[in-house]
Amino acid sequence: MAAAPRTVEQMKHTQPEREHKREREHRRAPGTARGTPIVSAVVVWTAVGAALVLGACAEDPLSLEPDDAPGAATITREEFLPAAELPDWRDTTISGFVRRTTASFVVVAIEEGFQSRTLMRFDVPDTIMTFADTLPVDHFDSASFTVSIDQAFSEFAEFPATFRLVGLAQAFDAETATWSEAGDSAAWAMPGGDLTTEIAAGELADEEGSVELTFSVDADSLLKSWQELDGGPGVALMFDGAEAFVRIPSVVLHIEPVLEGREVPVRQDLAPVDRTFITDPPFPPTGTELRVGGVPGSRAYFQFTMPDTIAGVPLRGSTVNHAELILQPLPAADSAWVVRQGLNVRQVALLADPWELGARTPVGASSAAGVRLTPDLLAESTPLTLNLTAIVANAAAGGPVTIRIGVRPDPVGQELGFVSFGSVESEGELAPVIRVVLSPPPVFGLP
Amino acid sequence: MARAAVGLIWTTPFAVPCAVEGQTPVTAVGLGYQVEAVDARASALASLGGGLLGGSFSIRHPADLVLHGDPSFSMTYATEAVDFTGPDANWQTGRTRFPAIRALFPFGDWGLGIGFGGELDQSWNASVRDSVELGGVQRPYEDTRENDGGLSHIDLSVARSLGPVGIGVSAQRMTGSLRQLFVRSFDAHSEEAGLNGVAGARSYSYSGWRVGVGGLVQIGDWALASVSLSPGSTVDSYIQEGEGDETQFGLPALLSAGVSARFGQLMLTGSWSRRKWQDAALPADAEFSAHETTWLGGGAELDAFSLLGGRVPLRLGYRVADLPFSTTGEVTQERAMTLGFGWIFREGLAAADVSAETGSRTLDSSGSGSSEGFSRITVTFSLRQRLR
Repeated sequence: MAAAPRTVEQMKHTQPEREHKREREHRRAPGTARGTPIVSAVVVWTAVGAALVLGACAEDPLSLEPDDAPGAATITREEFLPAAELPDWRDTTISGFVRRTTASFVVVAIEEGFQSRTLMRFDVPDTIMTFADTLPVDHFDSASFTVSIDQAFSEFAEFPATFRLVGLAQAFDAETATWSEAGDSAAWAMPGGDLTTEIAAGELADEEGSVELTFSVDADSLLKSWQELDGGPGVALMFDGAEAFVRIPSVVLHIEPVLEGREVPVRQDLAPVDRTFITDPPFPPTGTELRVGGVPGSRAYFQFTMPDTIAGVPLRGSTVNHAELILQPLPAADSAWVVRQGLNVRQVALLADPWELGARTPVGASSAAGVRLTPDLLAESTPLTLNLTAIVANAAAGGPVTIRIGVRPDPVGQELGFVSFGSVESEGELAPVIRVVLSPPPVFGLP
Repeated sequence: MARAAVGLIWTTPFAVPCAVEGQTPVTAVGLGYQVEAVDARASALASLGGGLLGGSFSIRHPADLVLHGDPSFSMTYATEAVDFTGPDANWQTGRTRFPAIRALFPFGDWGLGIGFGGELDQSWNASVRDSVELGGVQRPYEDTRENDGGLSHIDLSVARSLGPVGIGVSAQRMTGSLRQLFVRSFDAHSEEAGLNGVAGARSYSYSGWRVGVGGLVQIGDWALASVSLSPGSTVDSYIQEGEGDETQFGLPALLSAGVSARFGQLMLTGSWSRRKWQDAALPADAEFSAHETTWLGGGAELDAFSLLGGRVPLRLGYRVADLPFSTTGEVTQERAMTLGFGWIFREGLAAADVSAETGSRTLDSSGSGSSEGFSRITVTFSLRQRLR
């Protein structure tokens, strides 16, 4: 039951009584909670104080205009550093990271201003190992070739498309053979290879993944001659018809030898022991421009030293908000070597001087994200930017100021075509430029 | 005394400075905002605490220790709301301080005081929004500029009563620290574009010594006059983080006086002080001007009411004070009406004093349209141990 409210007058009368009661309790039980009203007051006041403190800490900072705000400030600025103005700038193209003999594809093509043939040599075995024994080959029952077609990278003007495999009169050297030379400075009697008789042929009806070439000559005698001559001079795979550019991942020779004393042929699939492709025109030599991609797998390498000051701002101690190397793609000089589908490139750190070690220069970490250079982007001359923020920031923090980086295709040997970029020797806006966004250290006053 | 110690233990954790936010462009100038180490009673009377009949827990006047007959402990808490009206925008902000924490120990005619008081509040936190054109794109960013810290003093005072006269000396260890932070953050789109922000910090600690002397004269129990003098001193700052040289700045000499007189239940008081900040050794590259500052205030206390068994004196005052630093070369003046009350139980064994101040800081006499108003609540909790 609630007590009846008392009037002010009643409270005045009862106040001395409460004081007297508290006094008695204080004497009776000193140090206890009931007997120490001051301690209780401490708790109450402490709680009140804590609430005030907590409330006061939940304030928002002021929002000010730059001119009104006190304290430190800095100016973030953007500067473009042309390569020619940077101390010790060097750039170069290093090639040879993939060769025609080690690429994941070969090419046959007939296009306006460009043609290509694939040269191969098959080493047909004299003996075949079976479960029980190793027996010599008596004769070859049948044989054929299967040519795989990479439709994503191939272009046909029309179907059916005819492929021919023609014998060579002169042996070729896979590493050095060109359209005009069989290798080791030995010229072909006929540019593109000394062709003899047609060995096999086949038609690709439509956009299928492979085409089978059937022998046009006696397979048994030809294969036996390849047995004796370790593949002989070799064969040339060519396209016969309207324009086409065909990228071929593999060519397989299927043979069905019948072993001595046996009647059932033993099917064997043979890959060429030597394989290359020759082009007309030949792969263009590297000029002053920088090159990335293609076969022989070119990379662009750079070395430069960041200046001590950028537009009057000391690099050391400044915050590098962003830094990038801008490379301007050049128009392809020859349509034969354009990037057809796209080229994935990645930035890498160089761990040594590439001008000393060349292709053996060790590379460090690659950029996490690669860049895909598509034909559309290249046609629009969209620059390739390499993020240098971490490297230049490290230089600003006292790290090495000499920067070595490279651009490589990743993976190597994606396309026959390559991308050219302007080098330090290029004119005007085609030359590389470093863009730096930096902020000098904020200046703190006292306080 | 044991209860006072209990109170000290309970309340000390709350004396740790919290993240004080938002001084204004007016008070975040120079060496900071000058904090007076006064309790709520003095604050309500627009006084610096010297020459107050009944004594004060303010720290400035060492001789006033003899006015306390019992060991006691007090803690003062102040919270302030600021309403800044600029030519382009209005801002509301605030700050919180513990301007004075003090323990007093009388021994016969002697008195000993240990205290912790505020000196300069250098904490503020401001954000600035702007943009910069980079690569042909306007990139918005936000700067956070933060100062966190300030200068305080630990006070050790001794006083002796010689009849109606009291004399006192004090030694103050100047202490504190300041961390300055600058952070620039670009917007999310810029960060996605690989644009990093900026961060820089510097922190240093303060140390130094200051001494003071004071004296008072009391006429019966109805009149009191007190004066204190602290010569100029130097505060050294030591770099703890970031780039910079160790440096120092000066604190000017301080002359302070206070008087009070009681007429029955009414007490009148007046307070005055002067400091010549322009004579202090300030940093050579200071981008602010320092001025001679005068503090003048007066108030009245009417001790005629009680509530729930406690005396409730009512207080009223008005003060005018100069701020020591400005960027315009003109002196910024702080004017405030003060009022407050106490709630005193059992002849002061436990007391709570509350003051409310409302005032303005005159910013610019050229009439740019800027003005700043503030309201401050100060609360003091005190405990005494009766010896006799």
